[in-house]
Amino acid sequence: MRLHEEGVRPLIAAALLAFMVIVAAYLWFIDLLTKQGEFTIFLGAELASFSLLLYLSTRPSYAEVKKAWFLVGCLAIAFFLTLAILK
Amino acid sequence: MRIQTRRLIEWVDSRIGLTETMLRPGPDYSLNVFYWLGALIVIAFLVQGVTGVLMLLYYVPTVDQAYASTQFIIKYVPLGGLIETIHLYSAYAMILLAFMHLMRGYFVSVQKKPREMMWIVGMLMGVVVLGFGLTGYLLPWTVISKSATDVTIGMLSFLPGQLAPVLKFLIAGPGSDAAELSRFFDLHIVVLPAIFLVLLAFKMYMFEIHGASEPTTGIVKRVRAVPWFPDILLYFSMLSSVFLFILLGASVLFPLSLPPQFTPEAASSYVPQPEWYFLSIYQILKFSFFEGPAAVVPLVVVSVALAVLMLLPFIDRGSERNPGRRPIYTTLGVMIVLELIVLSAWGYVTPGQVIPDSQAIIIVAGVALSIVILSWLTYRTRRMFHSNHSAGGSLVRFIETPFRFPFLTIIFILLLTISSAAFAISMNLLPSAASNPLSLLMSGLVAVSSLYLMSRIVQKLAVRQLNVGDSS
Repeated sequence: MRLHEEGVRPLIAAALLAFMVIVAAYLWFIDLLTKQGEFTIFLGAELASFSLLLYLSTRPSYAEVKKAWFLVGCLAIAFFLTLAILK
Repeated sequence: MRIQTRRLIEWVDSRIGLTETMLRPGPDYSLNVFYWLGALIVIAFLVQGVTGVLMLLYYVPTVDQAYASTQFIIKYVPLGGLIETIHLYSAYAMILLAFMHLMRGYFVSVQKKPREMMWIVGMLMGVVVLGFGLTGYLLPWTVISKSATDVTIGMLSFLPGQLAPVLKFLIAGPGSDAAELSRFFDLHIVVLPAIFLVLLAFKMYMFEIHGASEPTTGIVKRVRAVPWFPDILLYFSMLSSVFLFILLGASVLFPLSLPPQFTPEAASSYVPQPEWYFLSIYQILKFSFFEGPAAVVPLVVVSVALAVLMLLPFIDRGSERNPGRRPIYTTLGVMIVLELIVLSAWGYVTPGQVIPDSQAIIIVAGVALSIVILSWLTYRTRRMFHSNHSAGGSLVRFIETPFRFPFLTIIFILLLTISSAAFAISMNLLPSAASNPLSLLMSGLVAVSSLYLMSRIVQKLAVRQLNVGDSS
């Protein structure tokens, strides 16, 4: 599966949206007093996903999506998820 | 439903006229992060406003309660620690972005006709942003913040004549801690935000008139108009969310921990330092030839420099905007940036130390001289490149080589480091070679093989560059 292939962009966008919905639901029910750190980490992951989704939306065609930036976005999400697991 | 929505939007837009003004299409070259630094400063200001209002629900601006209420916010208010941390880091971000916005504007000469007034208003906004940093830092009433603010206010004492007592009274009141805290609180939440918003409205109005400045390099032949919705809105939303994401990342990695409360006893054992954005000025004041009454000199020089920067549109009257064709101003700009960075870092590692004259001259003049020499070499090389002079051509190819082949250059630098270290170890082992022959042999082998590999890389780079030269 390559970035410029047909149908890949909707798939990635759908995956990002699903991830954001799940995280938002988790953040809604989290205890804000005792789990501030966790809230911050997941909110960071949410913002990173949102940024990546917006970046994909600003590119008129997938051929214009730069792999480096796409990778940076994925790494940012992975970084926050790793922090969440470690904490 | 869609038709009704579109009709409603058209009705509202025809009455307010947003698509004719603020939301009109923009040039495609403005979809560049450097054109949006000002907008990010406004986002940081909004974050400050929201987090500040949330903290206002609990913060008490009295000497007895300031620290306790701040601690209460961090420990007992849901997300209080996060709000405090984000407020601090977005303040830092606001100051850093304001500086980047200023220097970007300086290097691409946005202050030239017809944007002179925008430049002056922008400089005033920069002073207000520094004022936010100064006033807000005192409010938690910690030993670090109170000591740092005392140092910064103390710098005003060196101003000449009646200026010092008048300014000190306006900013810090009659002299008591309670008056100082109360005034700083008022300045931070009412006066400075009001001034900032008025200046922002004025700047945005002028931006609507003049638009985004054109690129300085090349002639913009065909500018594509990009609609605000959805293109510019999506781009701006992406930048804002990345900015907020970076703020959150910093808050996660470096959460705020409150230093001890200010008391005279706690302050006596602490070496005060101003915050990082004032460290450069403070470092200059620590030079030994500015001790005593001579301390007024650097303050006057810095004030004059700020005034010159503010009046730059009337000093630099030429029409040229390309930084490549403005060697003096570009060199001065690079010098300002590097000197500020060097002085700030130097100030951070020498808290409370008086700097000897010789050291001050070597470092400050050394940085300035290095910039001047590098700048002269760069501009000379550019001129030779453009004139196709053969000697200049080979010099250009020599300077360009590391940048044309970055991977090989990085390997070369790594090998150079390894061979230097191995060579140094061999030299150290030589006097006692008989007692440590194996170590001497190993370090010698590493040094020699690194040197061999380096020579092969240089050979490869020379061949590649010759091929590139032949093909061009």
